[in-house]
Amino acid sequence: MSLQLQFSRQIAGRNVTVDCDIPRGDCLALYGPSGVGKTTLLRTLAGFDRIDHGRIAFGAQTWDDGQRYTPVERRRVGYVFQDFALFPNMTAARQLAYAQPRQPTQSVEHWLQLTGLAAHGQGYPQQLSGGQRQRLALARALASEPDLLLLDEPLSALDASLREQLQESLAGLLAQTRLTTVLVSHDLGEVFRLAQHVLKLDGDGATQYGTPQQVLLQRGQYGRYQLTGRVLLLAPAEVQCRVVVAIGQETVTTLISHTEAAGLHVGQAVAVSLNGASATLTALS
Amino acid sequence: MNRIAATLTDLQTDPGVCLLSASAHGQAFFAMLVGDAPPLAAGDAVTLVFKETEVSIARNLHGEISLRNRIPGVIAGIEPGRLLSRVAIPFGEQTIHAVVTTGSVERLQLQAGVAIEWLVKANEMGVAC
Repeated sequence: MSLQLQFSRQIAGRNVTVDCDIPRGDCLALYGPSGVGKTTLLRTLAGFDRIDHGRIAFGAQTWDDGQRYTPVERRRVGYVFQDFALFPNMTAARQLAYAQPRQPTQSVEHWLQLTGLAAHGQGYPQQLSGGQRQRLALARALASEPDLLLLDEPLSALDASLREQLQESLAGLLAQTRLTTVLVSHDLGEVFRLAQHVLKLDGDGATQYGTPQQVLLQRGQYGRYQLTGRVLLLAPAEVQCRVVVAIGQETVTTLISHTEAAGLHVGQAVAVSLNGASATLTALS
Repeated sequence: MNRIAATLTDLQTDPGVCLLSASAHGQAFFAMLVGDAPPLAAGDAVTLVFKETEVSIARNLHGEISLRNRIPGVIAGIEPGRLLSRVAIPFGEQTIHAVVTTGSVERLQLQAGVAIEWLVKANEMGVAC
């Protein structure tokens, strides 16, 4: 029961083409900068939007091929929104019960336990911490017993340390539930931690599909890996120029010649080459 | 960034690592690459790429040293700074640049016309095609 995505559609005036098959239980990350259409593609998979050409199918069931269309309520998708979209007037347990199918195979307590919320079943969203709200949103999506889990930047509202911690528990949950998942992210670390496949979207509508290593660690020069970043700072110094580049949530500082710096400007997209043998690693915990 | 047009002379591979040998202006160059071997063969044209900050300079160097890229040259000029200096060394029709500390420039008494050797570790040498 693979997720088959062979379609194209217009997003913000650009034609975006998608061609990938995601095996059951795998996670596909939609990766790219803000505004390229990641959330729009996720909404298309959920059934909120239609495709222009091609086909979306899950297993033998066609979800959209231009003629046949399976509405959102019949697609069995669990959706975790960026802002969690929890019901403020329902306890955690009630939210899960509300999301469950008519004949659930698992109890509300099971999902609370699985997401580490066993002690918070009677808590309302406003009584929970940011991390607990995120887990409740995930538990609610899981409690609907979906075939496909859609995660729209599920950790972006959280601070860095909590995000890292929840990445671990999310990775564990995905492995445990074996749910086919599509994740929207602009966090490189999150993509490598959670996804087996990545569809990279660029601002011009171009897409690249493959494993995170194939798509995000391109070798522009043999023996060196390239990451894509954006220039944050150009500070002329004696002899050389100091350049700070943002890559995902992190920054890299390096020295380049004034001649090379003259061809750059703040905000410009650049490829950062990493010499594999010279990179140093330091364990942080 | 320094770039040298060269010809591939040999490619030795081991899982995850390969050692590439190349020749330019009669000098042998070596690059240690991490990852799968590139689809190259002896005789192919390659470009050797290395940063100015990865170039070391030696004067009156005697004995053996593990650095594989060791090229004789004569300094054409030095752009001095308080902490760092940029040394220009002609190679063929082009100029190689080395950024070293100004303290080293003073210690080695580097100046235009001085014969030196410039050195680059094989794992700091990138290869583009």
